[in-house]
Amino acid sequence: MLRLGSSHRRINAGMLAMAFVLSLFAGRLVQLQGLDSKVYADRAERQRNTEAVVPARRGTISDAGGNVLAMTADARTIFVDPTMVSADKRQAVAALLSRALNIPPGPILEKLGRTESQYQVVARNVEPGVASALISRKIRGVGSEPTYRRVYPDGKLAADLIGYVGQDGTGLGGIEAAWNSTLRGQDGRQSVEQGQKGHRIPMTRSSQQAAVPGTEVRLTVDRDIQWEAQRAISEQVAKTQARSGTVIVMDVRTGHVLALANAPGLDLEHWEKAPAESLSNRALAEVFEPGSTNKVITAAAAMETAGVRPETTFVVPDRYKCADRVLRDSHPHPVQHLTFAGVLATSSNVGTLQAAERVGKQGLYDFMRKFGFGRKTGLGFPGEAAGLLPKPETWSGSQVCTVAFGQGVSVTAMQMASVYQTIANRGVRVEPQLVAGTVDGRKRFTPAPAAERHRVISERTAREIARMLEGVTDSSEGTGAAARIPGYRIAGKTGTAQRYDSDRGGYHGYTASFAGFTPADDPRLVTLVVLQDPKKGYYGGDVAAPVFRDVTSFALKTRKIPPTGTAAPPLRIHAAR
Amino acid sequence: MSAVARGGRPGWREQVATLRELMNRPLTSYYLIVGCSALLLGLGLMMVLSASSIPSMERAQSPFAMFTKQAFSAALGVPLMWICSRLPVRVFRMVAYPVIALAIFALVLVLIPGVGTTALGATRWIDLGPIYVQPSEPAKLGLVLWGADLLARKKQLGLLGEWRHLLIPLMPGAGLLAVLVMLGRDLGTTLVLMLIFLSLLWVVGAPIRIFAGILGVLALAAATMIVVEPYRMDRLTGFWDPWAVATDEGYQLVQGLTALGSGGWFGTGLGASRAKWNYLPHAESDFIFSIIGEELGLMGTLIVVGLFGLLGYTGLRVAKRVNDPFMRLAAAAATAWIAGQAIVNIGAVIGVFPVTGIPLPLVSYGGSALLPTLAALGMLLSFAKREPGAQEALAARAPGPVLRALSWLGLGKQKPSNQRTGSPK
Repeated sequence: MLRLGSSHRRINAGMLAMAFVLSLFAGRLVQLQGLDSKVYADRAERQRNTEAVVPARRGTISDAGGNVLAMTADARTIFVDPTMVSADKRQAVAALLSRALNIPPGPILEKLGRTESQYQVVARNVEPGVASALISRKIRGVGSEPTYRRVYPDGKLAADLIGYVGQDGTGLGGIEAAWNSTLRGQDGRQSVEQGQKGHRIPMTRSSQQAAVPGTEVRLTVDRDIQWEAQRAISEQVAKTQARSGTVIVMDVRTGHVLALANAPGLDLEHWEKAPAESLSNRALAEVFEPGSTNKVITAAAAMETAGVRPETTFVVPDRYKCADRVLRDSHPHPVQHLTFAGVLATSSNVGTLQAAERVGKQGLYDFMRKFGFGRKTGLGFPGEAAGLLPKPETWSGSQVCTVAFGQGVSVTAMQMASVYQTIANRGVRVEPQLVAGTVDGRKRFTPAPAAERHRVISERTAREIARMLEGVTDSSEGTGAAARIPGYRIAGKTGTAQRYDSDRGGYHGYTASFAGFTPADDPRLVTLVVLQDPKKGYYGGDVAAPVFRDVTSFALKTRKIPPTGTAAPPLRIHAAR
Repeated sequence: MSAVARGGRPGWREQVATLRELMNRPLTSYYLIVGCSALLLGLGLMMVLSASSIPSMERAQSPFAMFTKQAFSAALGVPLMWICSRLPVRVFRMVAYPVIALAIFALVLVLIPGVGTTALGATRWIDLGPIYVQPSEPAKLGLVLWGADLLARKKQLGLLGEWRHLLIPLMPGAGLLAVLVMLGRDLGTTLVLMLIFLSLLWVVGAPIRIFAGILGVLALAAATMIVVEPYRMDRLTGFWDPWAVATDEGYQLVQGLTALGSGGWFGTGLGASRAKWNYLPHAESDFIFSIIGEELGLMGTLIVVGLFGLLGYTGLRVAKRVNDPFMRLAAAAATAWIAGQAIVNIGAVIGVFPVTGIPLPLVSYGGSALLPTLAALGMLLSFAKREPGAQEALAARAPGPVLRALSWLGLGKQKPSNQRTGSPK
């Protein structure tokens, strides 16, 4: 017989046990929620807080008239989470994405196979409409996120001037790089409490710092003139089978660059595939020996320092011994009696170096320096070259002669254009300018600081050189007849230089150029055309001057510059014997 | 009360005396059970709405989908509780065998492939179209009724002096239920069934030696189970250091502790839980206590623990005060079930017991659990009304709450209230 315990006592014992356990629980709860609460709260907060950067919209780049050259538009990045796409569905998902995004399915399939990752970008810069159509189909593991992309409404127009932008939205070339800090704006920041599946938890704390959009940069470039310059140089480069070509059009008085075109151009949509030399702006980055266009500096120096005047007579043989070298004119000829104007008009090397000898090494060097050789312009353009202007002490014996007609120094096209701007502007050099100013969010235009100006030569000398340069185009013996524009007085200079080919390590081919300004008696526009290594014709007067004519006449019309209606005063080429 | 009436501030002695007087009233058990159940059920509905809103939104496009089901279960359960509270004791004894037979049948049915539905490693549900039924829940009620009836009859026949009558057929019956539930891989329910079985033996006064023996057998069984299914070992040991396995086995526990802890003293406020945003799995069922802790803070969790304590106390109080052995055993076993299940659930959430996957009674989402629980509480109410003196107190009670409410609205047979307050005219 078993002895049974008392129910009452047993129930009381149960009550005690329960009370004991529940008090332990209460203690544990005080520990968890009272004492250690901060630890858990912090952990929970870390787990659900997500910090996100709100990218700022990059500023627009526009031309002088406010026409958009480069702008930032909304885009989507399409990505996949390979862990959410089962192996048997990969093929179907890849095919679907490939059709929707018009990209080959192979790489998508490969990305879907990377199951160790949860984020694989399938396509960038997708149109928002295309992306939302894709997302609305609710394919598991496919997502999109908002980004921006750079859009170029005019295609390749001014592409190597605008410059390219990296995938992260940083300007890497051209104006995009030089003005990156202005264009970039200020990225915003936001922190949100998110659920485990990425929902934003409503009514929770969120801090937000709005993005400040970038500032618009307005260029001095005129879209229409740029377009014509680009068309003309591209056609001429193709026609003459040149390696490359450059056109610069500048406003004489302000130094504003109205057009700066290079051929071959750059396609900003596919800049990654472009060769390195196309990524930089040739007009600013490529140096070459200028040849005869450099003679205006020799002329200016001779007139300023050696008392040479346009009528000064030079007795010009077709060859001339200078130190250890015999230098020749481009064509053999009997001894001529030429005025200094005639020397320039016929582009006589011998006549020019005779004038240079009167100036001397130091004088030539000083003037080239004053005209801006051997240092970068104030553009601040990435990749800009300073050119090569050796110190006179290092010149070889004959270099004083060759430098006089543009051999043994190298310059950028922009530096050369600046020389002609100085002469056209009556001797006052204005630093070239590419950026007219900035436009803020309220469409207020802030002009860029005025360009630096300083006098290089006297007004008289500048006027006389302008008159002499008119002879290049209007006299029957001038080398630049092809640059004539009916009704306008054109001052200019042809250049045909042997081209130093760094690939071959020697002189090979030619650099053909034409630099000039118009109207000659009241200059408004200066235009420079350079063709590197043209194979069908190589005289500057033959290949470069027609481009000058086309682009300048277009620019005159666009800028509504009327002819001055004056006639060029007679210019004596041949001196009386 | 009289001290208050005299206008003086009552001393603590008087207050204790007042409380004791209150507790000794015949209907105290009745009102405590009604009060605790109503508060826990109300809190549960509220917390189910909060905790289930996110998964409901995802699965059914409505934040109320799960709440509506739970409210429907409660709407069925409360009348069931009311009916049970009015049933005579013999009805409970009568339905004992049918209930346990039905439970065993359903438990067998669950194990038949194609009928039972498996979720998260446990086969517990029968899919009945719109609802899932979990037969292990009524099995608990079945075991309570059958065991109590069995032991009470043997006691009345004076058979309990023998080992054989004490353990047979109670032990094989409980063992069968436990094995069936265990085959469905439901460790938590097995534990609660054992608790009911042990509480029956305990209250009937079985010798301590028996418990030592049974616990030894259970330990052996548990060891066997773990050897058969090694995942149980991970569950049993994982809770010691959940942070070491925070991304897999310990994930739910770690998230639960994080939610609980980040509630602090007063919580983040109703509906403001962050963990329910898919961080904490089963936030609306097994881990609803975490959400209570997060939204209502330490105050909320202590109140819930307190309510279960009070409910447990009242249940055992009913068991002590009734004179009939069946009522005593059934009341104690039902209390052991509800309070025990609450302890196992809360213990798991606060990281002192292993996670076994059972719901918090009255609070967690799940109709299969709610209905038998409310039925058991109704049964406790019915017993409470049979405490000595309770019948007389009930008879002397003023008109029922419904009549009083109607009269307050001026609709009952009572005098309209405006006559008492006087007309403004």
